[in-house]
Amino acid sequence: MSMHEFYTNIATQNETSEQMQVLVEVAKAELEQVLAVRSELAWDSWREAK
Amino acid sequence: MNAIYPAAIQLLLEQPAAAQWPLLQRVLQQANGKPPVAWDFPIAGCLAAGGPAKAATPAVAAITCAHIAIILIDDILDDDPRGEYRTLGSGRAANLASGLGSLGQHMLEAYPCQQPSLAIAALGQMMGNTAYGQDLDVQNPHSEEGYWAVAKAKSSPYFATALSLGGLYGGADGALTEALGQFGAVFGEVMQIHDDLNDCLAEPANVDWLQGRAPLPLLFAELVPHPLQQRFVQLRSQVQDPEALREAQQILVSSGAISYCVNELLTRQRQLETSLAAMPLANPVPLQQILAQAIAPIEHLFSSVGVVR
Repeated sequence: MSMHEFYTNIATQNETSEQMQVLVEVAKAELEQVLAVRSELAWDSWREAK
Repeated sequence: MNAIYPAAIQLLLEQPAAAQWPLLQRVLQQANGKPPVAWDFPIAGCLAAGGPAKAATPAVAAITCAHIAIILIDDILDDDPRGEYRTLGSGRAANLASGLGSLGQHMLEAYPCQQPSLAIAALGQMMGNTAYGQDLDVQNPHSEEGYWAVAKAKSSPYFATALSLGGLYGGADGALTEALGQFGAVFGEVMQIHDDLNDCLAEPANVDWLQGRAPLPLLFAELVPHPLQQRFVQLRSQVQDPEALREAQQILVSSGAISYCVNELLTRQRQLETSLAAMPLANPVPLQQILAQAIAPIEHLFSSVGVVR
């Protein structure tokens, strides 16, 4: 799916798949909720692995 | 790290090329304490194909040489302050990379698997494809198509070859070797997306923000016509200010840029699951573990955001 198609789906919420609903919720998250994952868990461990 | 990695380094140090070249020896000795990412993929491929882990030692050695060579060049191209070229000079660093490429190939010739020509061809193709990907990357494309072209050319070949070489040393036939390579190639794209997410969410602002580069989340926020697109473009030049960085990162979330990256990761997760199910593996556990690594950050994100799949 292209970026524009994805954005159209997420902005209009025309796409009703469970996965898209979850991704809409991710877009509504606070930055801190996303950063919590980066600072505490996996994304930093990937970095260390490099 | 198990005993195979130090054994692979020792094997490299015993080769005539290393014995005659003190700089090459030093770089290999430095690598002994710092294995490259996916150094154990050849072992995973070997075990998956039904071979013993130790049989993958020459492939681990070859992949280690390839990784050091790739990083030596990448650091020059990225002007990375941590690069060896800073002390050696670009010429010697590039020459060292060339020597490592040759040493990696030598390992596959001196310690052959059952199909040595396939192994040597795979390593050579990987070095060539990665060089092509690095050349695309240095041109800093700012388009969706350009991004995926770089990701496929630059990130995938290393992981693909690490797994397929391991498969060859475990006795895989041509079809399984190719399937292992395809699994590794998709995993390489996953790694690239994870890396981009990590970089974009770093504090203070990562060089990707400051040097005008185009990792996937930034590309989305710049190209897609969301309500804060112009504000994001303005903020991008101000991210050395922590407040501006936080606002720009919040736009990455609210615009759907992070969600888009997660969607791309989920798409590749399904590809990896399908690929894994279709492969006639003697031992699927090593690839299942690689798949679990790829998925873990997404599961953690969903948990943090409070959504259940």
